[in-house]
Amino acid sequence: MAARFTRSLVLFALLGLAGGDAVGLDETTAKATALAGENMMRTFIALSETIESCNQKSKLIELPHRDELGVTREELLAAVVYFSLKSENECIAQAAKDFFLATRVVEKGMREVMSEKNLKESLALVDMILDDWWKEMEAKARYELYVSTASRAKLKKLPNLRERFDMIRSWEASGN
Amino acid sequence: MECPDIDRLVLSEESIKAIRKIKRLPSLANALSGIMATSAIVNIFISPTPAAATLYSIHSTDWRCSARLMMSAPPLLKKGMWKVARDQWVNAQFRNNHAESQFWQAVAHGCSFH
Repeated sequence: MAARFTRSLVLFALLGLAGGDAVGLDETTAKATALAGENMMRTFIALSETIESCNQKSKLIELPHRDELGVTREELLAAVVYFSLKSENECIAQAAKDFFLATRVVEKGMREVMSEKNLKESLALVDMILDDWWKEMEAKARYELYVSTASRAKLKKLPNLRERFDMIRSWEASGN
Repeated sequence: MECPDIDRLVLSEESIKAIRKIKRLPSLANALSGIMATSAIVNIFISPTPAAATLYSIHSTDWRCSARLMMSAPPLLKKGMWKVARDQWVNAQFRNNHAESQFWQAVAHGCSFH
């Protein structure tokens, strides 16, 4: 799978320079696909750097015990999960959006020479990144459905939850 | 982090699927990276995928402290691994399954099991 995708990218980069006649693609399409591939790589590198930088900002925060707040364990956990995912996604949002756009453009070019199945396999990791936005929606849904209005009002007052924090370490350290 | 002793760990079906997902990550990262050099392929789980509902006792010496491996893996691959472990930790916490959440906490923070 990896070798197929690599060969495809190299092929299109070369076609971009040398012309697409060899595989029946017109020169313009081949060049366009190569340019799209280069752009995808640029955005991929930028996303990787952004992820690293956001990870470094992630810290251990102090969470009060649920009894102090007067909420249940599940309510506090739901809040911690939701706000952590939200801030994580916000941190990488712009770089991720650029990358997703670049990937979709490459996909359009690759469809000329790759089967749907191979294309889907090659881009499976992109779906995994996108998955975090769905997880945020699920976490928000859980927060809004299962955390009472009164509890949400208390949880909203915790300034730490707005920061970029390590969900697992912060929760485990809190004794909740 | 120190990789912990975990007694009476029964891996759920969901955890088994997550382990399979983690095992696939290096090849997915390679597929995406294409031309870019991948500095480290991390096989976080070397042994065959465990069976569900099997009782494990994991001692601290069973873990490989792969924090250094995690640091050298490309950021997207690291994030992928961390995400899978994080999601399983969240599920285990909501199910109040202490042993499984301990397991996934350890994986999220660089312990790999062999």
